[in-house]
Amino acid sequence: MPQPFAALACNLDRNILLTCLPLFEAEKVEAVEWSFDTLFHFREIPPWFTELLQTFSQENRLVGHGVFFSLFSGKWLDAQQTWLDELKKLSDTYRFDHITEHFGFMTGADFHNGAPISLPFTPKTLAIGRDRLARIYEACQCPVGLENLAFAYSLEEVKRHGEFLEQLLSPINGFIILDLHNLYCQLHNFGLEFADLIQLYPLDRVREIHISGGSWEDSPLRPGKAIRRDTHDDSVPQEVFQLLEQAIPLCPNLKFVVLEQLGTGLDTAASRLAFQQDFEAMSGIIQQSRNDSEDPANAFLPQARPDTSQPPLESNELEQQQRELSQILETAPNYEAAKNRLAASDLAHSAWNIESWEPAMLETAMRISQKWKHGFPQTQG
Amino acid sequence: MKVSKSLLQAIAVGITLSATSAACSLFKDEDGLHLQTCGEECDIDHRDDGGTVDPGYNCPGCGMG
Repeated sequence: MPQPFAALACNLDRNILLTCLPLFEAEKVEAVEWSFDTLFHFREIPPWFTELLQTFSQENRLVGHGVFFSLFSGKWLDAQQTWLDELKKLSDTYRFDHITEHFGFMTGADFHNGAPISLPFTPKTLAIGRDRLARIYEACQCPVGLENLAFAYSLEEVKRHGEFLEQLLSPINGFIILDLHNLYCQLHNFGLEFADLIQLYPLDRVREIHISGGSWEDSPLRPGKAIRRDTHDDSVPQEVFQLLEQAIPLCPNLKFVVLEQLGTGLDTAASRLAFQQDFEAMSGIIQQSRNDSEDPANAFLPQARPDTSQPPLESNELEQQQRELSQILETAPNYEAAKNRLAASDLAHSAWNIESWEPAMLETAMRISQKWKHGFPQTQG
Repeated sequence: MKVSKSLLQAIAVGITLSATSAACSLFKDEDGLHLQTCGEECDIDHRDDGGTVDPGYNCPGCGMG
């Protein structure tokens, strides 16, 4: 079948399933992305959900999207080993076409709390990231990818993100999820043009594209220009569809395009209908872009088995800095307090380059961390 | 891709049951919701008290921005 495939982020969430069901019935969903690690805590899940996953798995149309691994935590965590063990078991049960995770580290002291936040692009963080990616590959034995992060502290960081992803992924011949809403956030928040930003990414490594919606948040630190956030709680902006039209032809190894939205944003009939319409619009763009070529040239499998025989790499200094940063982001009452505490922390005058962080983005990091520090809200029912 | 009618019906029933029950969950009802850390003897339905502050089944996917 011509690629890329039109896919949904489908998880065990009542609102999401209620929204997706008509699309499944109409046979419009060509692949499913499942955030497998959100169910690690639970002993059993409904048999109809596992059957749904198996249906797509058997056709090589199931991809796994991790949320909680915390790729760049400076210290190797027991929970990370457990995550790998669980992934290995799941990979025996399901045939994942690939496995992905997010760039960054989780701010929460507890493994399942917090949100992914960026970090310095240094040889040390590069080595830790490569070590973790190799271990993920070892567990799942299928292509492994990373998603570009929406959040950035500075313009310089935005410009270097694509290059750092290339360095991280090349040893395992991994791939990129190009999240276009994340790019949209950066285009707006840092005043960039798509043509300038997209050329900074190694687009031949893009195997999957994400689209989603988000929200605007006013900042007193930047009057008149709201911050765009990747909150996944609203329908897809027209501008993101335009980015999709522009991006697909640039990505020769693209295999999946995934529409994502949180269940919390699908709690009304109108929001469900909007999601279904977004899916139709996404499918239309995909169909127009399709050609009759076979599978993408790059299978995104490593040329040689990665060596994971050594203990996981760790950095006590990085861990200490991450703890300090997380604590400040989660507890500072306002921007000024956070700025002052950072200036007095181990992060000052370090590779974190906190002195160049955009004030409004530091404030945004605080809001993200404080929003997610207690984990995910319970909204079903 | 084709999803069988019987599976679609099972999903529909599962969603409906979850909407009409007092519990906020799509998990099976027989013996409550348990965590992997629960012992076999655990008789607490963790969907009622949360079990943790954060039952993870309301999947965030990404969206943590």
